Amino acid sequence: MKEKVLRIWQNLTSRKMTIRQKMLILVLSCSVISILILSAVMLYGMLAIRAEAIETCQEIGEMAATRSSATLREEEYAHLVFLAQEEADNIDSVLNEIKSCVEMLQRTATRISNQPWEYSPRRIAEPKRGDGGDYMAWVFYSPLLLDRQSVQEELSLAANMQDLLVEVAAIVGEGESATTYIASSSGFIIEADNALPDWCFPNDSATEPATFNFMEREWFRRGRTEGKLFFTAPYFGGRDGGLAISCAAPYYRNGTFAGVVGLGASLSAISHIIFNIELDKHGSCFVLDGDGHILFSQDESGVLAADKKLTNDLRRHENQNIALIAKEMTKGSEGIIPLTIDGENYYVAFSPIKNINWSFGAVVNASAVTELLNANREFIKSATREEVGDINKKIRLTIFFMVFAVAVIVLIASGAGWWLSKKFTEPILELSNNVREISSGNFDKKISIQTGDEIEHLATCFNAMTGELQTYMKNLTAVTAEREKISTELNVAKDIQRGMLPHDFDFNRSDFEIFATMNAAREVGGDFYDFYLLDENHLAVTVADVSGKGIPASLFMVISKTVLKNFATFAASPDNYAAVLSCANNQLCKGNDEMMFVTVFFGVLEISTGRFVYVNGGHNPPVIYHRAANSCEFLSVKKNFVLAGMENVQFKQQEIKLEHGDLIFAYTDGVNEAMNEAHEEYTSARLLKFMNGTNCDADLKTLLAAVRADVASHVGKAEQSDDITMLALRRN
Amino acid sequence: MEITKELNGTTLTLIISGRLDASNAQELTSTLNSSLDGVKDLIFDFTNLKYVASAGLRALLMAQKRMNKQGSMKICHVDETVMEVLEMTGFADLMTIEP
Repeated sequence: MKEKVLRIWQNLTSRKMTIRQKMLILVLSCSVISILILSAVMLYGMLAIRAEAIETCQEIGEMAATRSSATLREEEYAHLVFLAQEEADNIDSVLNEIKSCVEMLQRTATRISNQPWEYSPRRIAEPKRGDGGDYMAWVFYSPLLLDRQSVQEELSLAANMQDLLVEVAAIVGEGESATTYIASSSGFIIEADNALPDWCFPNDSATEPATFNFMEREWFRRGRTEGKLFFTAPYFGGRDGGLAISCAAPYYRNGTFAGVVGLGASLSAISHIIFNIELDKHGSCFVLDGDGHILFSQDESGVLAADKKLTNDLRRHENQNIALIAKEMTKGSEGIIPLTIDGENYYVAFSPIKNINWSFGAVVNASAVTELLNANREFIKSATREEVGDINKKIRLTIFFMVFAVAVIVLIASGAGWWLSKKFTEPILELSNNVREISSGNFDKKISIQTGDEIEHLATCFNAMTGELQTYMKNLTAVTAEREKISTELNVAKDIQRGMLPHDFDFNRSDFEIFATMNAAREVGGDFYDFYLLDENHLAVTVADVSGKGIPASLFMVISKTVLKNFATFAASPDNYAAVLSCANNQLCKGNDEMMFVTVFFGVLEISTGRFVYVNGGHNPPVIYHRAANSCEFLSVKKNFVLAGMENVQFKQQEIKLEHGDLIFAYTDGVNEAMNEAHEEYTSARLLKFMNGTNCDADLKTLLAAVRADVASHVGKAEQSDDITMLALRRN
Repeated sequence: MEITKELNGTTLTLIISGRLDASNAQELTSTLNSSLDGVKDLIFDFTNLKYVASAGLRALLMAQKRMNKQGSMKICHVDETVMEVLEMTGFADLMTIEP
């Protein structure tokens, strides 16, 4: 995989691309990579935010559902309790009415007892058979009262209450029945009712109304002992057979218990209230008395039905829950408690009825509450779902826009890169086109690029270079022309120089042979040889080497050769060749500021005798071959100074005799100093050895060629550094 | 070829090593032209000079002619092959050569 990627990368990088392509790739890769990284980061961030948002949303939803459910439940509970409270208060108000009536009676009775002088005595009727229909008041006596006369004064004062008693009974008992009374501890009771009590005339034969032992009644005893207003326990005693209740209160005469006033009323008003309560959500309600009996209930049957006999204490109910609720209610608490009956869940909200130790309970089906909570939860969930959907939608939209934006940016970057690279490379292309034109030879071409950047600078430099190049070319052309001219002239000079050396070795004579070669080095040099007949019997030979090389040397060579030949030819004193060289030396010294000098071997052969007179001016000693001995040796030479080195130098001449077949081999230092590639010289010793080993009787041309070949074999591939000049003279 | 100059008062010593031939004789000539002003004694040390060509001799000749006018010139520690050339060309007789 790594290799594959590497290969692709190499392919990509090794591909030859134009700057434009490279720039395009650079711009594109930079922008695309940065955008992609940015987008990736943004996408990641958005997805993270989205996940976070959704999670948070769901959490909040969940929390809201839970919280609001709790709140709702609380509220619903509070609502139910409030309802119970309200109904309890309603019932209480009925009791309050009764209570306030009794209090009014109490106040009146107390006033009459304490301020009797404000009242005038009144008559009060005794019950007669057939009384009733309308409310009216009667007096009854206690069987314990023996002397009815003794209470007549008090009775006549108490009788002032009869109208009030009748009125209150009528008001309270409207539509039903009610009894009001004032019972004196003295033994009489004034009672107001719309019907005579049953016990008054127990049978048809009774003519006198029966006595009423009211002092034995619970309400009287409680009135005496408790000393304050109270309600009796409910009882089935009303004429309609319904539940009734008595409210009684003691009254006092000068601080002493004087009797009890009271009101007995049917509880149908409460019953009405109960039955008229319309609890929604399939509820029902009931009233529990202080002893755990259900006094009233909307339920006709079941555990919470009314206890007709007031014997069923709910606090002892087998259902612990019901027992608990009953206990709480009888305690006078207020609250709400869940309850399960027959697998159904209910809530019981209860509130005390304050005037009396009763409690009102409202039973509602729990499903109502649960439904409410579920609806609430469902609502919040759907809201959350909607919100999540909304977030998703927005994020998707944003991502879509982001992708779109990235695409647009990449498009713009591509365009910009294309345009930019074009703008960059256009001047370069123009430059290269111009340069191509210039390189094709049009140096007058000026590059005109005004981009104001490095390319313009480059173009300016190119223009400068072109100008310089043009100048240089002109100079070069001129110089080359000059060089060519000089070269041509040098070649001509070389040819002239060569032409000055004698090439005709055939004198048509058999008494001597002569042959010479001059192999010039690359440039014109200063070697020369010369030979000429001074007269029929004298042959002059010269081998010379001018110091240095080149034109000066060749010029000096021409002068030297000419001067030497002139002096030799026109020598004033024949046979004194030392003088010839002296004269030539002095002549050459004149105007020789450049200190050119020339080494010369000059000799003259007297052909007939073989006498060879020679002067050596600083030149290499020639080799002499003695045929008789068939051996070669160096010619003994005096060490005269070179020619043209110094004026008035004396030269010494020498002479030997050449026998027939003897040979003089003169040469320049181009032979013995010929160097091979290792800079080793050929040396004169090797020359002598070679000549001793070769056939010196051979044809002179052959002999020189053999020497030349031996020198060449030594030199090998090294360049010839100096002229190689050889001259051989043989006397036959 | 290498030229080492040692100027001691009016005595100039030129130590020349290598090969003195046509290709570098001009360098010696230039050196001489530029260094000889005020020099009374010119000494060439040829200890390490292995070869001298005719162009080199010419430079020596120029130096000799100049020193003839302003003082003296001598050549010392001459190598055998160089001595051969100096002798053959007659330079040895003309110049002061010390072993």
